[in-house]
Amino acid sequence: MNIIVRDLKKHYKVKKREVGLKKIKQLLKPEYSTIDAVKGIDLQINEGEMVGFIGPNGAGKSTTIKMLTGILAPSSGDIFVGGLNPAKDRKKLSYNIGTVFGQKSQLWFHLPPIDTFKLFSKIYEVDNFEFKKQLSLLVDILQLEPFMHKPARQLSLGQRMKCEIAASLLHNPKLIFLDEPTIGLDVVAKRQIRTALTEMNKRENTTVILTSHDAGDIEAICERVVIINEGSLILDNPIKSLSGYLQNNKLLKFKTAHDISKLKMTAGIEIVSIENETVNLKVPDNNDFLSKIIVNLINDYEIEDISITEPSLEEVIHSIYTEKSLRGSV
Amino acid sequence: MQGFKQELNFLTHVWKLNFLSAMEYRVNFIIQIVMMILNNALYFIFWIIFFETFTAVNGWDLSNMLLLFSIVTTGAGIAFIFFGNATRLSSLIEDGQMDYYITLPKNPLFYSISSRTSISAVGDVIFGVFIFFFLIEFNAHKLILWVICSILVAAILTAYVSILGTMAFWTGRAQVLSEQGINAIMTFAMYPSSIFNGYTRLILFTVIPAGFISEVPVSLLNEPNLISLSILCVFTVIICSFSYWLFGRGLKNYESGNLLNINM
Repeated sequence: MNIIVRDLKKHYKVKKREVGLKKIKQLLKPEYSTIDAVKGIDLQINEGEMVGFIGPNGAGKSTTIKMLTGILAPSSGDIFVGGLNPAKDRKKLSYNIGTVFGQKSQLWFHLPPIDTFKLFSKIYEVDNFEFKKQLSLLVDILQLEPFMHKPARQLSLGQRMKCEIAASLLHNPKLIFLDEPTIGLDVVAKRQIRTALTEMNKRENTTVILTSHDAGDIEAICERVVIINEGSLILDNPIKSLSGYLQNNKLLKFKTAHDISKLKMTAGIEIVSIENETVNLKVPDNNDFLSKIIVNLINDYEIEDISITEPSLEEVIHSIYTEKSLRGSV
Repeated sequence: MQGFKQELNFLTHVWKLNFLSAMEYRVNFIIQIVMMILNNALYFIFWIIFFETFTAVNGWDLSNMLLLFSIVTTGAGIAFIFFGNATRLSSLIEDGQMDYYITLPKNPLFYSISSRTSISAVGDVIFGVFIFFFLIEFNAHKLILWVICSILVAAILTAYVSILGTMAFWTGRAQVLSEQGINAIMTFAMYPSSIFNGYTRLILFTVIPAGFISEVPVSLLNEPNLISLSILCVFTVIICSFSYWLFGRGLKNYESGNLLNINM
């Protein structure tokens, strides 16, 4: 199921906050200001793609997803999801999409997840045979059997989230939206969820749209990354090309008990972080330059540990957010 | 027809889950029902004592009060057994919990208001049915009319409570309005309607339609006539259609939210 978004905007009217006597005036004659949550996004996502939406808190990711699912009506712009307008063809569209909002549960709190699954088969009018087939597949991939008959209130966060994802995939949607599905989960649960999503994509060519603050999710699932910041789309690239934004740099990490406040900074070196006795430096990816820096460090300090690594996706994203990318404008 | 059957099949499943969910805590389930029966009974005892002293108020006597209680409690009970979440509609809108209902291929209004059963409403129905069958003289015609009136009262109440909750789409917060509105309609409905006149009567047949769930059904049961029945049916259709239309309009103003939520 493909998605076409053209010049998508969403703004909210909020009451101006006043202090003192102006508060009374505000009560009688309220004044409003406009907040632009999404400022003109253009986007095209093809059927079967797995796309990660990333951006800092309040960037406009969830608002964009909510407009794509028909929850929110856009202020202006066009959205076509599988040729349908989500705001107008909500019901038609909802048969073909699944949604998982990490903060919102679809499961009935006092009942076992299997009861919610059966309810979902009625909601989506899934044929009994198809329901059993799909359920058995999801139970297998997500390993739900040990807890799907326990009341949802007794489940751990990871178990609950796996059930949420199963509930959203029961009707075999052509497109699934996941907003922070792995928030607060352990590595095992995260891995199972990632496997389930990639498996569904392989088997059914399901389009996956994922927002997450966990770069691991994006790396493991998505082929393409869309970065949204302050309501605007600032980057839309294949994930493989993303590391290229910092490929001219390496991360030099060392540990020392010495005072490093007087660390001699040569041009091109940048302190990324200093935590306890561990220092992270961003250095140019040049063998001669790196050798010199290491020699200098060893001469000046008593180094306990040292390593040179490629920047992680998380660091790349951080760098893009803060516009410190070394490769021109983003 | 097929669509209606599927919708009914779905709602039946939701109501079954509501009961299963409520029955998870059996003691609480029974206590709530018993307490509601006691609550209604104590309230009604007040009227028994009152009519022992005054016999009638502007033509209303104890037999009218019996009819009134049996219809209003049964109607309210039916409304909140099947659409118990209507009283929380405002919170669902305020807290962004409508997201869940909007993304499903069902009518968000019907599904949201039907996804909770008020357990105490079961006590209301038991009380109302008890009064009708054991304290009121009835024949087959009266029984049929009583059933029809109770269902119409349930529909009016559900629509009225939904309208109050729907206001949250515009006001941002409408929980207090909902609570006060429900209190107002139930309070006015449980008094002999003959004590109200002038502008109060105008209010009771417009803004707070208590007259349609008390005076009209009681007069219909006392003196069955097609005009009163038609008025009641037409008003029910109007208020239900208005509630449905208003919710649809409000949904365009929905702002969602990120509060954590669970389906109880």
